[in-house]
Amino acid sequence: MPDELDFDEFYTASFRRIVGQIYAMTGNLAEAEDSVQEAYARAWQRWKEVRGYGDPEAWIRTVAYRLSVSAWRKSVNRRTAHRRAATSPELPGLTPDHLVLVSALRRISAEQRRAIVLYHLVGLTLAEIAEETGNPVGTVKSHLSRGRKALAPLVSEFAEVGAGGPRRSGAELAGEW
Amino acid sequence: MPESFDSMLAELADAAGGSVALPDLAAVRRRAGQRTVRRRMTASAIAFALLCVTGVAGAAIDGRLGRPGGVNTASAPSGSSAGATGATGATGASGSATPSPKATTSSAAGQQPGSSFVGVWETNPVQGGYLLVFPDGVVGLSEVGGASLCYSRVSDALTASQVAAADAAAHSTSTAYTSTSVPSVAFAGSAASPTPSSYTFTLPFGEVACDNYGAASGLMLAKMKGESALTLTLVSPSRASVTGDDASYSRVLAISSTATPATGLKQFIGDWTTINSDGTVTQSLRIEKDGSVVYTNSGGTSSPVADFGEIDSYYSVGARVLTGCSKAGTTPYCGVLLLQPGATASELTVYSGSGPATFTRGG
Repeated sequence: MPDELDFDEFYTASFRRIVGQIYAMTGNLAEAEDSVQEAYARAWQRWKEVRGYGDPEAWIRTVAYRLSVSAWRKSVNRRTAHRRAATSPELPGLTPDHLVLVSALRRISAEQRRAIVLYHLVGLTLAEIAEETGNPVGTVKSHLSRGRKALAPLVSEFAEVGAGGPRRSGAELAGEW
Repeated sequence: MPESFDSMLAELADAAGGSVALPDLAAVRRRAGQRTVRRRMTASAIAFALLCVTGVAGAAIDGRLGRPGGVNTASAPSGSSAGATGATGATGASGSATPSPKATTSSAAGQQPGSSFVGVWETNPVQGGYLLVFPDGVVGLSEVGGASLCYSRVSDALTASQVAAADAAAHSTSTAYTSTSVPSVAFAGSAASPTPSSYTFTLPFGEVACDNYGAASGLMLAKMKGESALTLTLVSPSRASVTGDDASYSRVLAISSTATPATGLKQFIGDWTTINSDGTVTQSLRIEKDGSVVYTNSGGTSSPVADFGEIDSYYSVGARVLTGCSKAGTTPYCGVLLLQPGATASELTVYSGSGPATFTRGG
């Protein structure tokens, strides 16, 4: 019973947050929702093990992302053009700025988008992103840097960053970039 | 943009998260339960196939010995696009998911009666996808952007002898499996079945999860209507926004187990590269004397990738390399490469996630 209560609490507290994060990474809300739900189902099957991890939320996020990307890859592989065009409906109530952001994120690579979301939205450090994505820190830096440069023409804030200006607090950036 | 990027991104994610209804916890547990049921159904299907094989084999033996009640043996192996393989290949040494860390010879733990699904399979040339199935049940599946082929197994619980038995069952289709009904195939996502009208025969035999956490797909042998050759079909699950899809593969190369070749590891040791027309190197392979392998690919992906592994066994077509995972997960390996000696000692064909490529010796 403690296991169930534990899982219930974790699920209730984190489901929507992770859906938002996966949506930001993939740009497809329906896929994000389905992947996250599937990830929770897998977590429930092995909750004792997952609970023992330092950060179960990171496990869910990783599983959900890979599920999402895996399905996306299949769609890319097998149904190219028309499947690509079939984007998910936009979220209601988004401001024009949000729409610009969505559009900009769709133009960078999946790996860059994932790194940017983990860094800017989830708030992970470079080392933590490297751990979660399984990439070396240098690769994470590269994804972040290239992603921000690619976003620079589309997101005004990154125009400075793309040119080499600071993005976060100086102390944090000095330690990581 | 008036607001900071971080806060804009947070608002976007909040809007997305807030727009979805929190699914009932019971639904999540039900979904988890369905996964378990599907896996059990797969196990049941395999067990059923084994029973049929046992029955057919018993009847065949009875027939050969002239016992009363003996029946004819199962039909001859169905032809694949590349023809059936030899019938004497031995399976891998173990049904365990953990191959030997050092290069070993695959032992004769079981026989491959017809090797229906063991081999190198390719989707149509336009798609260029590859699916490698080894005698011990290890599967390598190509994916976009991947370096090595994604490592998987036809089933976590499937042993080498079960693989052989399922293989034999596939050849018994005329007696045991000729049907227009389509058995269910294990899926990680929502339940779905392949289109019955498309197949005259199917034999689901496992679930292929392409990485530690990735989506699983049902793998089955099938005969398309109007065709005589068996195809290997990967059935992806239906999901909320993506309908299930089938990818059919035709065999282009047979694989059977073999003793360690006389040349053994020696023929592979060294540095190998693919050279483009402009002289640049896209893929490289370094094979050390202890069988350890470093594979890099800087083409076709957003960033260069490097896989580290080792030659773990030899087959009729060459050597298999299993590469490790960049982080601990649920499988001991994440990648598969197949090294096929070329026409000359200075050439090597390597099957990776990008498909086969010819490497030449030298860095």
